[in-house]
Amino acid sequence: MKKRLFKTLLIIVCILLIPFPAFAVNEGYIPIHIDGYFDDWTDKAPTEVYPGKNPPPGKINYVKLFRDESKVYVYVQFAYKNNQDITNMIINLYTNMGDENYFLVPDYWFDATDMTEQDMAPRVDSGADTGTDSLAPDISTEENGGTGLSDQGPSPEQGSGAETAEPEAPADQKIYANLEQETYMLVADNINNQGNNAGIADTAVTSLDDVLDQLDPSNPDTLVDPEDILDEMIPDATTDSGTDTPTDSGIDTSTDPGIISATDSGIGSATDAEIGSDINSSLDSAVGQELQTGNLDLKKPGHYGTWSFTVWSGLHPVGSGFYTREEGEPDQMELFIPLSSITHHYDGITEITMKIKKLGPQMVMCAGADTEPYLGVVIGAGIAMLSAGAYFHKKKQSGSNKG
Amino acid sequence: MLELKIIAFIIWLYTIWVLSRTGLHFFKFVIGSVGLFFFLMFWVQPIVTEPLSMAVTAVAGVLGDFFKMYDSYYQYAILFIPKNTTSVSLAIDYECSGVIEIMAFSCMLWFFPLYNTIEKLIVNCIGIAVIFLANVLRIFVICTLIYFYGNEIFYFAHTIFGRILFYFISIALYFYVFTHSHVIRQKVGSFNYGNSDTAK
Repeated sequence: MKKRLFKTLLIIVCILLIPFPAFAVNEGYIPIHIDGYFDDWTDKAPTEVYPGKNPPPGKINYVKLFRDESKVYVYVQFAYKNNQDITNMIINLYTNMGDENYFLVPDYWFDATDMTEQDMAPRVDSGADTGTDSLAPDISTEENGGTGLSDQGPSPEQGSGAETAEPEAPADQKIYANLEQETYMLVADNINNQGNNAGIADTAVTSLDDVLDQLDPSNPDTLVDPEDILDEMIPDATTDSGTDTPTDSGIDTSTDPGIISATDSGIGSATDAEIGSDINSSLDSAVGQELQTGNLDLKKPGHYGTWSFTVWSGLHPVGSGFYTREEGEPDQMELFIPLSSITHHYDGITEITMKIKKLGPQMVMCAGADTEPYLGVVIGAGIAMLSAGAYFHKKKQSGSNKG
Repeated sequence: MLELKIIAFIIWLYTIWVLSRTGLHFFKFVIGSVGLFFFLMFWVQPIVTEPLSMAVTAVAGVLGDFFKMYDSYYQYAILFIPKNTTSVSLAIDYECSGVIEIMAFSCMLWFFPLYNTIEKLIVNCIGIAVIFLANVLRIFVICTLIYFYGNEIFYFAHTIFGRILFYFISIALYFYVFTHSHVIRQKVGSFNYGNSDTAK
C-alpha cells in the first residue's frame, strides 16, 4: 500500500515537473530597444565606473552591459558632475574570439548611417511622403546662400578645419578624399536614399558615379587624417536648437528623442534640379553646413536634447546609439554593437569584457558558463553503453546456460 | 533539408525495427539512442532551450537573492554579479542550460532494456530534475566564487570547478540509473559451493 502511494505521488510530481520550464517564460519579455528611450534599462543592474579611488557620489558613472545572440548593448548614465561626453570616447571590447575598439561619432544628420536596426527608425514619419520635412540637413540653395550647389565650393561661412588644411583643393576631395570608398558610398547612398524618399533621386545617382570616379583614395597627396574629419563632425554650434526648438514639421525635439539634429528645412524642400545639378557640392554643403551649424554641442551649458551617434570600428560604422541631456538629470547614453564587427564566427563568443577608459578603469564582463556538454554526454554514454553491454552479455550467458 | 531529415527519420525507424526483429539488442540500444538524440536536437532542442535557460536562471536567481550575492534577469537568461572592480554578467545560453545533457540522458534511458515504460517515465523525470538541479548548483557555485574572489577566478570557477561538480553529479546519476540498477536486477542464477555429495 505504501509502495503504491509512493509511486502515485512520484508520478504526480513528475507530471507536475514536465511543464515547469514553460513557467519561466515571461510573456512580457521585451528586448532592449536602442531608441533614445531608456526605460528598458531601468530594471538592469549597473556597474559603478569612476576615475580614481573613492569618488564622491556625484562623480560615479553607471554602466550597464547586456548582450544577445548577435549584439552587445551598452548603457551609460553619466555622473551628475559631468564633464564627460562622447567626444573621444573609446569603448574597448575584449572577447575570447578577439578584441575590438570602437569610437563614437555624433551623426551630422539623423539616421545618416543607420543601416540595420528597425527599431532605430525615428518615431515619426519623415520625408516628403508624409508631408513632414526630412530630418536630413538642408542641402537646398536657400539655406546655403546659393553657393552649396554650385561648383565654386562652400562659401566662406562654411569653412571648416578640413577645408583650411588644403584650401586649394576641391571641396569634395578635401572632405572625403581620405575616407574609404565604402564609407564614402555610405554617405552618398544615404543622400540618394533621402532623395528617393523625396522622389528626386534619379539624377543624383548618375552624378554620384562621377563623384566616385573623381575620388582617388590611393593618392597620398590628398591624405587627411580620417579621424580629424570625424572629429569635425562634432561641430561648434552656432544655432540655438535644443529642447525648445521645434522643427518645420512641428515636432518638438524635447518630447521625441527619436528626432536628433533636425534642421530648419529638410531635403523635402529641395528640387530635382537642386539635387541633380551637382551632387558633389550637395554632399559638401550637407556636411560642411552641419559641421558649422550642427546643434550638437555637449560642452555648451544649457544645451539639452537627444542626439544620435554612430559607433565606428576603424573607418567602418558598425552600430549606433543615442545620447540624451536633460536639465537637472544626469546624461544618458545607449548604443548597440553587433558582435559580427569582432568576428564573423560570433556564435563562439562566450566572454565579453568591456572597458570605457574615459569613464574609469572598471570593467564590465559578460560571460557564458557552458558545461562543455558534449564531453559530459560522451562520459555518460560510455557508462550507459558499458552497462548495456554487460547486461546483454550476462543475459546471453544465462540464456546459453539454460540451453 | 526537412525532407532529408524526414527520410533519415524513416530510415532510422526501419533500422530500429530490423534490429529489434533480429534480436540485436545492443545495436538497437546504440543506434536507437544516438539517432533519437540527433532528432531531438533537430526538432526539440530549439523549442526547449530558451525556456530551460530561463528556468535555470530563475532558480539560480532564487539562491542568489536568498544569499544576496547576485541578481537574476531570467527574461534575458542573465545573472548579474556586482563587484567593485569588475561586474560580471553570466549569460545562460544553450550550452549552459543543460538541454544537451537532458536529451542525451533521456535518449539512452528510453532505449535501455532494463526498465518498463512506467519506470522509464519516472526515472526520466527524476533524471531531468537531477540534471537541472546539478546545473543550478554549478552556476550557483560559479557565481559564489566570483562574488567572493572576483573575476580573476572566473576561469577556474567555470572551466574547472563548476564542470567537475556537474560531471560528478551527472556520472553519479548515470551510474545509479544504468549501472547500479542493472547490477541489482541482474539474474545471476543459482550457485553452490561445490558438490555436497562428495563432501560426505
